[in-house]
Amino acid sequence: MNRPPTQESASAVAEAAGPLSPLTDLTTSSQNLCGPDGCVLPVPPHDDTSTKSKTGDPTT
Amino acid sequence: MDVDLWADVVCSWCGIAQRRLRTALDRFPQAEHLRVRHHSFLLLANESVGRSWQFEAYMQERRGLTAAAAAQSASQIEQVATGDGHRAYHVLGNHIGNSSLAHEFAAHATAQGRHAEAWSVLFNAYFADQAPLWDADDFADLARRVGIDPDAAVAAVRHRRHRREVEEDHTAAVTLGAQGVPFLVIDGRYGLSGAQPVDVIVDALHRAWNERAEDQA
Repeated sequence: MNRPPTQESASAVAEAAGPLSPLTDLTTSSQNLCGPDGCVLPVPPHDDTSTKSKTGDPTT
Repeated sequence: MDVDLWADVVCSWCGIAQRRLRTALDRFPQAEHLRVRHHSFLLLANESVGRSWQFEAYMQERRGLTAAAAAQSASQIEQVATGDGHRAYHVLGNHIGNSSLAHEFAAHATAQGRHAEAWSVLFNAYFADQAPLWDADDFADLARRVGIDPDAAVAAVRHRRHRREVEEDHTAAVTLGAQGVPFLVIDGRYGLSGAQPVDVIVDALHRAWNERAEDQA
């Protein structure tokens, strides 16, 4: 199974990547994400009129 | 190889993402060589600690949504969770608020060697059981479920002993460019925003693993 986590802080992860070497974003779509202003909802299936997600769940 | 998931316990998509990550790890042949860690992100950091709202009330009071609009968005996410196999996943009717205490509880459990258990219990307790997470005493039962001393856990939360760690976690995500959560970082080089499909996570794990092997060759 997975190795147990250590007490290494998240800042170590950030430092390892570094603000000057941004992560490669492998995200395939911008849906299913919650930010301070709300959550992006899934695109309805078989909706050919719009490929954009909508925001409607602002906080959870 | 490190796999780091930033999440908020009360983030509707994060419980879904956590389960998808677990499923992806089950499908990844080298999973035993991965170090999986959860990190804190506070979506409602501007709200007072200890205060919570019923979901629909928060939507109306803070966001100006109608009850119908709030219910519709919650329902969409609940349907995704059901499709993923969650036995119960409550967004509508649940309570939301600043989740700092829950994250500090997780940090305390991590210090006791119960990191994965704590995050799993927190997500299950919140989304499946609608357990409250707003007062230090709320964590006594959760501590038992995690397998740590409840009195010590409640004291750690009450005295905010892990507040700084949680805040540093949040800041680290922002430094990495996170716009929200869930936010998955693989090997410190690849990022996935949002609750992505299991196949996407598995592909990202393979890609990072293979590139790491090439780097070391």
